[in-house]
Amino acid sequence: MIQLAGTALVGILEEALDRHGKSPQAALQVLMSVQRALHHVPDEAVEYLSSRLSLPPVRLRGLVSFYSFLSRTPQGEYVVHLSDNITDQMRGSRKLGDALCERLGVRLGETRSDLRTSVHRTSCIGMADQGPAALVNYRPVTRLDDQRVGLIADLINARVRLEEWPPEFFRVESNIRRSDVIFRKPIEPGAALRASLDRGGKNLEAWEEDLAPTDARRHQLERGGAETLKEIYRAELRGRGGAGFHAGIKWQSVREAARDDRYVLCNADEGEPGAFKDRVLLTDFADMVFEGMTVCGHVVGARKGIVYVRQEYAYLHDHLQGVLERRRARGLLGTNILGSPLDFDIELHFGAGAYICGMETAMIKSIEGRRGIPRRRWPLPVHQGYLKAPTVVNNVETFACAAAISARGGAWFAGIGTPQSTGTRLFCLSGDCERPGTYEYPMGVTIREILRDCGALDAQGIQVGGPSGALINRGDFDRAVCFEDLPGVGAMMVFGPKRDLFDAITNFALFFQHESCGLCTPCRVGTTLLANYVKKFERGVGSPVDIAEVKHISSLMKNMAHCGLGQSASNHLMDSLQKFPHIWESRMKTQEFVPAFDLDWALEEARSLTGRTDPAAHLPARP
Amino acid sequence: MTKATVATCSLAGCFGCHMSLLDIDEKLLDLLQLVEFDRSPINDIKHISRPVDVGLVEGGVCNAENVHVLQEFRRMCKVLVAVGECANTGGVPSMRNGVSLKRCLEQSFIRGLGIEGAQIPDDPELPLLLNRVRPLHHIVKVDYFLPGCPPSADAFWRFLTELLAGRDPALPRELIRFD
Ligand SMILES: Cc1cc2nc3c(=O)[nH]c(=O)nc-3n(C[C@H](O)[C@H](O)[C@H](O)COP(=O)(O)O)c2cc1C
Ligand code: SF4
Ligand code: SF4
Repeated sequence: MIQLAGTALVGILEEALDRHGKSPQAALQVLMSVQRALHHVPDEAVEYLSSRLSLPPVRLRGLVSFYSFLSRTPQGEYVVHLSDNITDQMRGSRKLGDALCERLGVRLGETRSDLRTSVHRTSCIGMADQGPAALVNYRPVTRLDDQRVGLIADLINARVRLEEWPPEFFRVESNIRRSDVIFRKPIEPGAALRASLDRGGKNLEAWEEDLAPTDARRHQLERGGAETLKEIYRAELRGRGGAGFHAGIKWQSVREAARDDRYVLCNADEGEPGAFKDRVLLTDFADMVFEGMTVCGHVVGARKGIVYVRQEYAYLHDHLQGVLERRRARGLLGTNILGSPLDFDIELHFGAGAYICGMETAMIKSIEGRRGIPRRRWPLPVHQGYLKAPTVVNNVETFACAAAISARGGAWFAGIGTPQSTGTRLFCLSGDCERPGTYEYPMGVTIREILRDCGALDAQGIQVGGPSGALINRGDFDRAVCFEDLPGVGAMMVFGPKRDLFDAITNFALFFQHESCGLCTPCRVGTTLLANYVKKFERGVGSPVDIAEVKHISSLMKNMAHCGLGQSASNHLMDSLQKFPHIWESRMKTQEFVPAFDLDWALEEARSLTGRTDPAAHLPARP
Repeated sequence: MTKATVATCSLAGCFGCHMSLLDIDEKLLDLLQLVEFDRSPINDIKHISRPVDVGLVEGGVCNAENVHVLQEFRRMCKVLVAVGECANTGGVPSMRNGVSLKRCLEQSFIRGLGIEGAQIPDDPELPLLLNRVRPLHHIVKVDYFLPGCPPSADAFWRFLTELLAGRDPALPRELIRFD
């Protein structure tokens, strides 16, 4: 046991408070720092922080129990989280995980008795193009194989500091295989902002001459924002985070809000299994993302932006802070941006392991330092969002597109893609394809074209848009990816001709069961029931009666669940029943209802307690 | 007109659901115009004698005998109805599911106060307990679920008359709200 002298503990806690501040919004950030330093959040820490943050202990305990990377009980000094997406499993992650546990002498989900290490499974960590992957102390290790797993076990057993591990273990590739008009030649830092400010009527030199923010200059700033908003409208930019809502409408609502404190939030939670484009954008195009947020700040009159980054991408912290620093130094962030009266700055905020925090109102709560549970839909975030102030929430890619639009004009953007889906889109290809990675295409590209380029024309099926999207078969390959036809985030997991797709839907069902936040009954109970039905079929005891039940539960969830997670958590099951019925039928050994468990087994405990062996002490499997 | 046949039973339940059925008072006479009861605690017939139209099952499934009875009902009833919370979810008896059967029986028959000759009963006459109490639909296919603890007399009446008239027996909101 690590015995913490009281003063050492206080030192660690105070350091976390110094780094993140003592506002209630800092609570989650502080706890994650404590988790990293102590490998758990001990009860004494909760007590201490509760008085320092002026929050009741139960509020902090609520955070520890909600977020999967926080734990109340001690984890090992080396915490391994094995990415358990279907794409990892298809490359043998389960076996590798077992081998790792064996070499470490620890059981999955447990902590070794000397507190050296713990091994867990976790939802996709955003490395589907270079899996199997894992987080070791929240740093991604990619391309796991037997050799790498063996070395990792040795390094942990020998207690080698992570800094001294072979750097190639931590190498994360961007794997950009195809780029198109937006990302082939990213805009110069400052170009979008300059264009936005210039729309106010004065050229930049004039802006820079005299810093005094006179009424006339404020008026110009205002006009510039209004003109840029027109460009966003002209571009018909729609959100890239899933729902495809028009960015212009959102921005205008916040711009017209009656309050002066407004916020711009960038959603970099990217929790959808199989998605990783936001990671690539934050890695290679961070300037464009930040610039898009700043342009948004100009348009809506916000002074502060926050990027909500999933903990799995926390390894990008220093890189992102570096880009922010550089932008401040170049006058692209901070006060009097490019010499104009525009003030805007950006903060980073990190999650702690929860898919639901990508849902916008859950994200807002998480940034406020609360459990990430979606709130009621109205009032919309544009009216009452972060700290009840009018708030724009957009995806990483949406902001990058906005920057390009400001720099190059809405008409240019609108000329790309299809009438209702303008611009280009990033696709994340993973699974059974020759060249997994990120691909940029104009909207409206067909599935077949993408498959041809990534080397997967023999695929039998594709999960488009992650588990909450659509499972399609060969008959759909000529469909176009755009809001008019096949919408959804650009995550595409490819299943080759030899795969058993039942493995995939099992993985997805368990994913939703794990990630349901538990607020509403249709989803909390529904996701568990659906996972149980899938397991029932896996055991060969499913029947048409159960299929009818799966359909019934699915329709209840679609209609009654509180948020998008529950509403879409059964899509993969419905799609598979329709497009791949044989994976269900081949497991259907009976037409009659059979219990999911063995009735005779259910008497075993009573038999052993009573020592009875008479015929009445048994139940036949079937009546 | 030939009467519809109905069978009823109580598994791991308290008979409260049956009491509520009897609570339809004078409508009971109307009901008897419509149906004829086969196996039921109301008439003390022990086994279903022929295929019946409707089976009403109260209570969850806690032991081997419950399983046999429920399977007989499923075999013999065209329409099987889970009646009341215990049949729908396991209800009060399923509160033991949070504790292992071992602890449960030891507390009752060995460690409990004032026990003499402490021993877990092993008489073959007694049905063995399942490791968990189950709702009906874990064991057999169930056609309708009548909610409530117990479902109100009006709910029984409405459900049965609609069903026997060949209509969808969905209950209006006022019959299934309990607050
Ligand atoms: C369960 C769930 C998870 C989501 N995850 C993300 C996510 O990781 N990233 C994202 O940008 N949007 C996500 N969204 C969509 C957001 O709620 C929101 O619509 C989006 O961030 C708005 O930005 P956009 O208009 O630019 O797409 C998710 C929605 C739901 C229901
Ligand atoms: S649908 Fe699921 S994730 Fe959404 S609020 Fe309900 S329980 Fe939470
Ligand atoms: S549902 Fe209520 S009334 Fe009916 S058997 Fe169970 S406890 Fe008794």
